[in-house]
Amino acid sequence: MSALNQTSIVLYVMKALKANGSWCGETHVQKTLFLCQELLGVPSHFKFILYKHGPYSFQLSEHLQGLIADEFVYVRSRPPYGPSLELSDDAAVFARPVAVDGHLSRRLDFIAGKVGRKGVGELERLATAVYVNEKHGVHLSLEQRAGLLTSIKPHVAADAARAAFLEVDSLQRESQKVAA
Amino acid sequence: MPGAHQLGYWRRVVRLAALCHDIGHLPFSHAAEHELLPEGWNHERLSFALINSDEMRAIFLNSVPPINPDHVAKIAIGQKKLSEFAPDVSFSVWETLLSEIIVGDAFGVDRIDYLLRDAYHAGVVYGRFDHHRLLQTLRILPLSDQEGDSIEPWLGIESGGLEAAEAMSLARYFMYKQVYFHRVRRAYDIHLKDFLKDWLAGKFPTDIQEHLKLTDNEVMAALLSAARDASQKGHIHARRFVDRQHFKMLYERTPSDQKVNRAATDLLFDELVREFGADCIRRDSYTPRAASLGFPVLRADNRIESSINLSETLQKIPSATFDLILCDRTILTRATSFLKANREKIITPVKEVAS
Repeated sequence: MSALNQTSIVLYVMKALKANGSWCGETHVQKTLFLCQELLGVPSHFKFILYKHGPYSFQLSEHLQGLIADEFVYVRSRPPYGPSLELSDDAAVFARPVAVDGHLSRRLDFIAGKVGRKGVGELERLATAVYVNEKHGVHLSLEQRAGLLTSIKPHVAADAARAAFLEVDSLQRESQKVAA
Repeated sequence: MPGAHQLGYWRRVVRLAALCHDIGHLPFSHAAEHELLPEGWNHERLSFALINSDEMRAIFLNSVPPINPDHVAKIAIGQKKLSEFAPDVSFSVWETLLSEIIVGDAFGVDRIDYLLRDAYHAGVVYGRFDHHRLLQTLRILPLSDQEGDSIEPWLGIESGGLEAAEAMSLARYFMYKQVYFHRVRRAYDIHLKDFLKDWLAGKFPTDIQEHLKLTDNEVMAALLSAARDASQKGHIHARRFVDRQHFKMLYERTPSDQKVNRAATDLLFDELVREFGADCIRRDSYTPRAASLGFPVLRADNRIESSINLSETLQKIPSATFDLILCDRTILTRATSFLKANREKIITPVKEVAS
């Protein structure tokens, strides 16, 4: 995938997150794109590893820095919480190729709609749950998967981990319909 | 987090990791890394191979108490780079925190070291900042972008260290603008790269023993020899280096040209190559890769807040970036005239005419 197509997807996701009431900090963009790639096969091709707040892509982080340097995106301070990423007027032009691709935009809109209102902690748990499912398989019991999540992220409580897997299982079922 | 009795072990791991962090650098460090190593290789992978060499493993394992070489490799290289060639290696939260001490964007000791050292050796003061204050105020704090509902631990600072963190970020920005991105320094990187391409007649070796045989000294000796003998490989590039006949800056990306056309530098470069030939024209550019300057700060009232909210300075530090076109000095006058006469025409987008 070309950098331009990746840019279109990233900018479209940010736009969709904002339309769904998201705070739209870097973590929100990171986790949303991870879910889009893993659950709906969105071809943004960012490589994710376990890092800050769960699955994290250094490639995506660098891509966002490039967009900030090119003035497509800017950082807005929003005390007392972390900063939000805002889109410039030019950004809409570069998001257009995705907007006119109904199959792609439907998938991105679906995930943005599901996670737009979620905070960092919830996104961290959801994305890490998807990572555990991908890596260890969904055939494990809920307790086993929750145990794996809390071993990866010891600051996550067991009941919150279990709730995350239940939500991911439901999200996965819905995603299959959207991807079809 | 390990118990108190284990902290001594991890302290030694971090020290060894700091010493081994850049052990795999090629001669002249980054200058030729991207083009002159085989696909999939970089200096971090060479560092990894060196740390895991029989010789180094024996040193780690024979120390008292023994040090696990895998721990040193992880902390020295960090998740970002290690995931590129060892994707199955996983980090615990503790290991992530420790590797941030070495490679982190905000407070990595690698960054602290290279800014201070490069500023000293280059004879500039831009790279200096109060690293002692920074280290004294370093803390492990919960990281959160939003409503404080995740308590994942991360490296942060007490609010008293915020000015030192600002100074470091400014130092980095100025060092990039004034030293690392200086047009003459960039020109010599290009000439060194051109020379190495000819001299190596291929790529740098990745076999550890062969890698260790090549240092700055071997390259400098070869460069001087090639500069004196026209029959040797890389002679023309070595001459430019030794005689200080480096390429001169012909064009630098400007906001006003970017406003006319975002692809202005691409168009100008293509046109200059067409007019004067690829041997006489070079392009060099950099897009920022560092992560944002956000990190948790422990305020005096014990609340934790993002550095971006607390520091207008960090909010406003721009990304250091550049995009240059350089040319052989023998064509500089002609090329400058050509640009003066044609720049506007080349970069102005052609308007579509409705048929």
